[in-house]
Amino acid sequence: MKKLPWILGFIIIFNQIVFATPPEFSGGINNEYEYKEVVFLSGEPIVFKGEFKETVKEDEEEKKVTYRFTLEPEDSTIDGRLTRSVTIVTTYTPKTDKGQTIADTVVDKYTETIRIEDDTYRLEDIQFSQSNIIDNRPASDFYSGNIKARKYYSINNDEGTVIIDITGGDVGYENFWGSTETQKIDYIYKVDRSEDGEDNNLSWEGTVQVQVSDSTTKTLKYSDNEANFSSFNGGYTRISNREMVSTYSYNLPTKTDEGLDTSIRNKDSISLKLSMNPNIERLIVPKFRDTVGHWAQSDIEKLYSLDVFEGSETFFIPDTYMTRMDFVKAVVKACNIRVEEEETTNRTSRRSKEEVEEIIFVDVASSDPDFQYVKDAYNKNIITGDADYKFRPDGKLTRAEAITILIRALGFENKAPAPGYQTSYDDDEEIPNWARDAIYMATEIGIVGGDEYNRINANKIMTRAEASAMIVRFLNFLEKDLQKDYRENIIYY
Amino acid sequence: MKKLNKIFILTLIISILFTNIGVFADTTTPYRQGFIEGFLIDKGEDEVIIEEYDGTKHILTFNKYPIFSIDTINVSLDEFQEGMEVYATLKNGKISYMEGFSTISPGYIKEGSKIRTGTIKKIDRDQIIIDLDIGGEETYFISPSTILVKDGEKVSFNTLYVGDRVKLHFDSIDTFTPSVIAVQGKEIEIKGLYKGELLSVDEIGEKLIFTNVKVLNNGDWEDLSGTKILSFSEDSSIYIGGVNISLSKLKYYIGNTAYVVVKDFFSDEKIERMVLKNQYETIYLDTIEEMNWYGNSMELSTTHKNLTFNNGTIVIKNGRLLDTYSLEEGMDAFIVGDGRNGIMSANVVYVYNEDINNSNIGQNYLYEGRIDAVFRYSMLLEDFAVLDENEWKSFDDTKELYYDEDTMIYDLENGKIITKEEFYYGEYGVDEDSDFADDLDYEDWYAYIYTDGDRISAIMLQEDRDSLLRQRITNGVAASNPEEHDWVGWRINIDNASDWSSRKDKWMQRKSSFYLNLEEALIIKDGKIIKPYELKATDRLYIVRDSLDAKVVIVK
Repeated sequence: MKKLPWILGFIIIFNQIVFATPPEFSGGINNEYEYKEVVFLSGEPIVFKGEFKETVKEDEEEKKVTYRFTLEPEDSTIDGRLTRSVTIVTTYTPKTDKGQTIADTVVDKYTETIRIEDDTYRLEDIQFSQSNIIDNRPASDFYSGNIKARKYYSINNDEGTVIIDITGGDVGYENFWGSTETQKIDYIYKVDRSEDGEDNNLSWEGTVQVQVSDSTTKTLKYSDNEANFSSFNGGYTRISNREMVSTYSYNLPTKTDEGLDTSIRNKDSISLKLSMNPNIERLIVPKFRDTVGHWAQSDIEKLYSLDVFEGSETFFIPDTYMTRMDFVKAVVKACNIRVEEEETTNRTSRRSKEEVEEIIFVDVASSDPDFQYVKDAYNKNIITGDADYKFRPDGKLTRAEAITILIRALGFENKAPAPGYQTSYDDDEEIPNWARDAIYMATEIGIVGGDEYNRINANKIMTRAEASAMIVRFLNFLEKDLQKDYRENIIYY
Repeated sequence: MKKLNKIFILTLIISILFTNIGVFADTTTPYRQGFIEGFLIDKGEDEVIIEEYDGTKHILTFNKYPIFSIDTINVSLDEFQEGMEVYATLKNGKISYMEGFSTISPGYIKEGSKIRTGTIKKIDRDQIIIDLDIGGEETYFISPSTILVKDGEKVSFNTLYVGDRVKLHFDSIDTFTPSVIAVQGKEIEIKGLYKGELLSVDEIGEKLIFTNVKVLNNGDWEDLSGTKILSFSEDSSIYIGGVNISLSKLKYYIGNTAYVVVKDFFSDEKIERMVLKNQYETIYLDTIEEMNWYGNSMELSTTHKNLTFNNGTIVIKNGRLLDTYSLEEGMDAFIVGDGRNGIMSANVVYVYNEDINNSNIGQNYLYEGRIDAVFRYSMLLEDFAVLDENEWKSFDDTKELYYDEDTMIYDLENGKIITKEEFYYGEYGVDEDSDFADDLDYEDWYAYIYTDGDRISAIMLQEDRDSLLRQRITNGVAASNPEEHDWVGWRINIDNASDWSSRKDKWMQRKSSFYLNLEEALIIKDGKIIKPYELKATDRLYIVRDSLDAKVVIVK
């Protein structure tokens, strides 16, 4: 119970929307209960663990995070203690016209004292600079940045110095279904404990590479209803998980009875992992009568549970065509793209209802109950409509349209090759020019693939079942594929 | 005539008029043919000036819903720049579609930016077949310029194994030859194969709890712990009788025995594959005599037993989990059969086979012989033996091998790495019949040589020749980090070892671990000589040994 107050701050944050960011930049990890990191100042790796408190103050322009650590060696035979207090301030500079944000981070306050056996390492100075570019895309933000820092320690006040040069970078993404930040940081240690220029076998140099990742995901799991005499069979639960992993790869001197032998290197790695307790939310129960036994039953029911589909609760009619409006609404809802703007706009529209009628497309009136979805999707460049300013809301959705909407939501179309290329599909000539980049990128990231004849069938009308399956695959991409790409595919290679 | 004059004068006036105001020698061609092409000279909000290739300029407006595109990508008029080449279609003299051209290299992508990830299914010299993460399998080609990277370092293609996870980078969109292949490091290897009874299922926490847990070690199930909690994820797969079952159905199998392959996931144990025992267990230590791919079965050589295999069958080789496609005749394996009344399917096939080369890409050889002569950058080896399929084959012949500045040369007698000059000028290979050698009592030295083709990667020199007949070829796994023993010096404990039997022509599983002395060994990792203390627990080792003394240790 002693640690409860320390944990509370974190739980409050976690129950809100949590975006993954490893604490500070020491490679450490935490859950609700404890924090762990590896300390190398003594020339050998020592895992420290203990209490950790994180306080976050954030508005649109600035984020101020304060960390406080009180740690002790995990190995109880080692006598030691680490106290650290850090305040990091990130300033956001939005470039609204480009849909990007620059985030510059500085250290506002940093105090640290580490005692290992008889030696006390006190932080005397720190230089720190971090800058990230955040690409704000409709379905997800993607970011990447660099870190450069230097830490200066004194050893037992005047018995020596430690300089740690820190160079690294981070990559991450944030969306409703998951967020991951992976930091890859190199530390170069230079420890000088020579006395009057004489070597006493206590000076050393070494390197440590840290790869630390904080990741959140939301998954949907189906649970059967244990009782038979119930009004429903079972339903989906949305489970939010958060875990942090870290790998320290080090190249250090070898500890001997005479001190440190710098010629024999101690090369190895230490991995750490901590998970939060999952957060669970039950979702509404689908009761469609016509999806039972359908190949897309689970996809349709997942989306229904997420409140993505409106209309009849009894019949979904999976094999009829999907309309363009229904698909856009489903994507916007499933990715949770519009929540804040809808509220803001609703307030505005009530106030100015009589004033100006807003027109995005000539065939979707501002009084249309779905107008807001179309407006948001248009403003975020998910849809563009036709040249005649029509959206054709009731038009039949084609595969090319669906794929284009999804890839635009990710903002990936710009990553397609320079124009004038052909995709690998045998029916490439059937692909409309406006959909070529999206189809190429959707294939690259594995959201779509060819049929048994290697055709993409770009102009084929999609059924509601097919569209549902595509959206669920898209959500899996946001949740799992991105996590794998930003974590395992970086750390393991 | 008067009329003609009038027409001439009128034409002249019109001509002069148009010339004077600086506009456009009129040609009606674009309007007749319905399109215009040339250069965009100027653009306003609702009109553009286009200069045809012949220099004719046209002021053109747009129809109600014009379509603009640059290099086939739909854009707004704002995206067009003056001076760019354009093509426009005209309806009723107005532009209905206008396309600009800008891209110099159609289809160009940033170098290495096309990426595929997947698992190696097959390696055949310069071809690798990959099971792609985005679905399907694809054959890719390795060129001399392809770089293989592991743990951030460039390594040889012989380090690739079937079952390795790879990330391939391509420089163009339509090539099948990657420029860089990054291969996953130690994380690919399985941490253990467990057998236990399923005790509990935590679907939300994604944990499975087992009781009576045993681990496969030294060819047998060894007791490990009373209970064990293992993590589970969507990537984990569960089978029973070859049928994949979902996590939600697992609660019906509580109490069932399960075979579980786990990998290390940042110090956590994560289930990679799990097979539930369907009927009764039988264990075979045998060689696969024949594969029947039509019936998905294999015949064992000693017992002549036929076992079927299926999608769930756990196949482990080289520390990696493979699919059944990798099963081959001649594999020596620990096999867990599941069945009754003589009808068996294989739940586990744990293969012991190991070789110097991991695939047929590799051209690594191990030689032993007398150093006949040392030249600058080459040497002659006489009366040599080469390790071929785990057996020394002797040749009464001379073999020329080549060394270079990157070759590592270890003088065992003096216990140090020597330079190329020391090797060249040293008395390692002398003319034993010469007076010089006779006077100074010099004799040829002997060497163990690890080569890549005929290029020497590493060589260990010693004064006396070993008896190769006494030597055994063993493969095993380092049970712990090496230790420096007071009496024997550096040594390492080896688990899960198998010895090659020349008589039986198969790997024979050892039933216990043993300490291997490393003081007089040539230890090679990634083609380089390493010190004994640089070996690590879980390293897989290919060993040439005389009793408990290692002569050559190759880290796989």
